[in-house]
Amino acid sequence: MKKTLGDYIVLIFSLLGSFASIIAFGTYFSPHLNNQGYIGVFFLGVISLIFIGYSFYLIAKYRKKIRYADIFEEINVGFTELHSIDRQPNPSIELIIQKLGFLCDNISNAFYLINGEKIGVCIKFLTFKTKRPIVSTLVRDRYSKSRNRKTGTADKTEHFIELNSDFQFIWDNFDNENIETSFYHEKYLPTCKDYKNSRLSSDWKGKFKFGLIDNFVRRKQWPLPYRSTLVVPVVPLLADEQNQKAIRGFLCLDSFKEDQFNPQIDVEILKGISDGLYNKIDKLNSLIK
Amino acid sequence: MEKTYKKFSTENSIVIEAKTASKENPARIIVKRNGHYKSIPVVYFTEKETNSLLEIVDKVERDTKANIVYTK
Repeated sequence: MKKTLGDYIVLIFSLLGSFASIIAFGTYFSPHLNNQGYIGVFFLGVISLIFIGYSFYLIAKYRKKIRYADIFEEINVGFTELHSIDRQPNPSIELIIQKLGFLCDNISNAFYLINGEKIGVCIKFLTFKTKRPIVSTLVRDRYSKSRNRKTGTADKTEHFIELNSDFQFIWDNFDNENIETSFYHEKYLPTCKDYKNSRLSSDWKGKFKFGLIDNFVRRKQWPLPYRSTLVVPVVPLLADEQNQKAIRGFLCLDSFKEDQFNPQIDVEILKGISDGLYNKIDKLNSLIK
Repeated sequence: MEKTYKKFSTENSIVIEAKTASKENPARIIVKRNGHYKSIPVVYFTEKETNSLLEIVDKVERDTKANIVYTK
């Protein structure tokens, strides 16, 4: 719901009118009021403040939810990218990777419409090294790449799965019934004391704790380019023998601002996308062999 | 029922291992922690496949920057 020039004109007139009313009341009416009048005005003032406060509360609570109605176009375009892969009888690896990249762009644009801030999106796949599972980035959205977030052979960091809180949820919460509903969400990464990330050195903040201002110092010194994250596993929503509920990878969202995601709604969106994604990673796996 | 990862505080007692697919079992991540055992089916790319895939990712990145859109 975008603000228009008319919204701002109404706001300016409302503020000017409110100030003018207060000044006029104080100048022309209050000198003529008796005690009962003052009590009546006070009572009306309290009622007005309660209604104004409740209006602000409703606006804050539902402002973001209304924006979800605007994202269908981007999500639909993202799904057309996935479906275009399925329509090809023999899609190439290059086509699949490019379409998945476009999907990340569409998801990023959709969540930008909700949050008003740029959101980083990436799809990660699973590999291993000397029996240790590793998570590698397959594709990213264009905005993240412009911010020097690495993909392909440029990403030299080895993201061992046990060293990243983002992916540990799969064994803390995994069972055959619930994996498609599980996710990892952290609103305040800088102040999450037990958050682990391959790109985060264990002594990034130093050993000294700053007591009451520790959270403030952590936020100031936070080295990662994102401060809130939401991760879902790439699995089919409904598993049968053909598409057994193996984890194909992870669909990851992150934001440079804290508290940017609503897991109750966003996870449902990402689960649907994940269901469209899993067989593309299966396809890549069979083509690359 | 939705579940989220909240805390991972028993780091030292956890063993995580990648198991590739065999005739009897699919590829999976094995997690052993505090006497408990979990087997999570996954789809892996081997190290060689990963290197090939990432090189293709680089190629696609260059082509996309050059406005080349694949059709098949």
